[in-house]
Amino acid sequence: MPKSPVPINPEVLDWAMAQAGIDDAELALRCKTTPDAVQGWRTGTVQPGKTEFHKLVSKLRRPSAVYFLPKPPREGAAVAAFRHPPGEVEDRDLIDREQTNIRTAERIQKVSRWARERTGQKPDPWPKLSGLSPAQAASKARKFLDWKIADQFQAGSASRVAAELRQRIEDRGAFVLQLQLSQKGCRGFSLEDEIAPVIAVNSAYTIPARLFSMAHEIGHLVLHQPAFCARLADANKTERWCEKFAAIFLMPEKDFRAYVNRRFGDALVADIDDVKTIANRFHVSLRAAAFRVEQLDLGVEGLYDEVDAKADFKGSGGFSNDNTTPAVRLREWGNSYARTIAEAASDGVLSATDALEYLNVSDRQYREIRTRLDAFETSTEG
Amino acid sequence: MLYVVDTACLLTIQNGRPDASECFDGMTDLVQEARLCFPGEVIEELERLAKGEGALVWAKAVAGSRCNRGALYRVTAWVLESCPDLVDETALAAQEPAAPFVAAQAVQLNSENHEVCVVTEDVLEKPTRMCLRQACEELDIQSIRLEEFLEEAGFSDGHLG
Repeated sequence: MPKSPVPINPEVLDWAMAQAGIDDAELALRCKTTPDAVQGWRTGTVQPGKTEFHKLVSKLRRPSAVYFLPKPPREGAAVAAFRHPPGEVEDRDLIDREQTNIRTAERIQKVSRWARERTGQKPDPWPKLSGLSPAQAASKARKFLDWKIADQFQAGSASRVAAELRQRIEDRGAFVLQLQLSQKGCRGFSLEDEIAPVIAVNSAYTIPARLFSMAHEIGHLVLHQPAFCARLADANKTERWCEKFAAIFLMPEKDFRAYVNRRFGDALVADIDDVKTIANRFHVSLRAAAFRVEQLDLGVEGLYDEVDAKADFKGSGGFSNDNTTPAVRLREWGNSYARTIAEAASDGVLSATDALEYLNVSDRQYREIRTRLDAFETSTEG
Repeated sequence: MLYVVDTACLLTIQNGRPDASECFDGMTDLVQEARLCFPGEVIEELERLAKGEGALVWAKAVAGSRCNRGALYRVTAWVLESCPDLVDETALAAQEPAAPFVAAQAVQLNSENHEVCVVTEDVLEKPTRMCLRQACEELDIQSIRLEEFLEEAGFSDGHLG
């Protein structure tokens, strides 16, 4: 029996371990105790000591106060809905990174929705485009986001295109997160909401792949349904619709045919090098370009499968010299969310301390974020 | 009166008062007179939110002189039985709001027959948890805001900068 037992709620511990996918043995290892002891904590027959408690808090990554609640917290709707992601080759549970980041996205959405309701900054609703073909929906979505192929060509690089598309989505009131979901994690997910819709893409994927995922998640937003997108082009009808939507959104038929005709004449797109040429023009991934070639019947048979087998959509995810906390926060959570919090604090709707909590930054880092946001506003106005 | 201060109050002094240094000096005296304290979780929260800045420097400097360093866990459990919404269930890993522990310390000291008053700037409604002022009302613990505290304590003219 420990000298100072900590009277945690065993039901909460049991819940937290299940949420984290950690069993008695793993937690015992971390807490330097036995699996039998951990089982005792979960059933309430014994209680952890202070040191053991601090170790389990650290391992399970929930605030320590949670373990004194009278009952476990409610699971977020998205975590519950996405718990067994569809479309994988084999059924799997959410990995730790996915769970954590879905929770992050849900929190961002909850806080943003609340702030917008109180500051009166509700965005125009996103169009409801279910019932339309992917091509019809893509055309309407491009108008809604004021997205033109000329801007895409002139952007100069995939990262510039991705940044521009992110900006357009955020200008229309949705939040775009770039989260470290790991190479084992999903491509992205979206959380539908009238006031604070959220798109998240995996920063472990290459920028062109992320760009395509962003367009794919736009598809889910205009269908007004939440989604967790694990794999490309799986058996799910909605996923296939969004895949086609994304391809058409980024590579409209008229412009795509015109370019392929100009580049290759009457010849079929033959190999991965041809696909690379097209991908570079539209600043999309190889897989996306090959998918579009196949959609429009412009390539040799089997070209998509050949590209799919060779193309690597997982990579370093881009490189940045600036990995300070303010830079990372803005890169991962977006300017729009940071601005929403800062404006709510300026309006007195949120306290200054709450702004730090909701951006997960220190006071000094928050000042840096405000400076960066102001600089960004100035540069875009100019 | 024994004051229990929260993180928001200390950050408001640090950032909102031109006489912050004088305020912290006055509060140091109160700590040493056993008239002011705060739980360890406030120091941890300041480590996250005010690293290297005045509020954290002050809190660490006086930490060893506090008459009470935090409530027993069973008191925290009792407080959260009454006010579960004081916990931010959505808080991210490694974020530990100190509010539940400030409330628990106040409740414990109150049960030990001290005349207790929580000093807090955590007074606004928020999307993910109850504010500390509301929790104090529900726990029947007196609370005041920083300005009133500084006037009561008598080492400031009480006007926020």
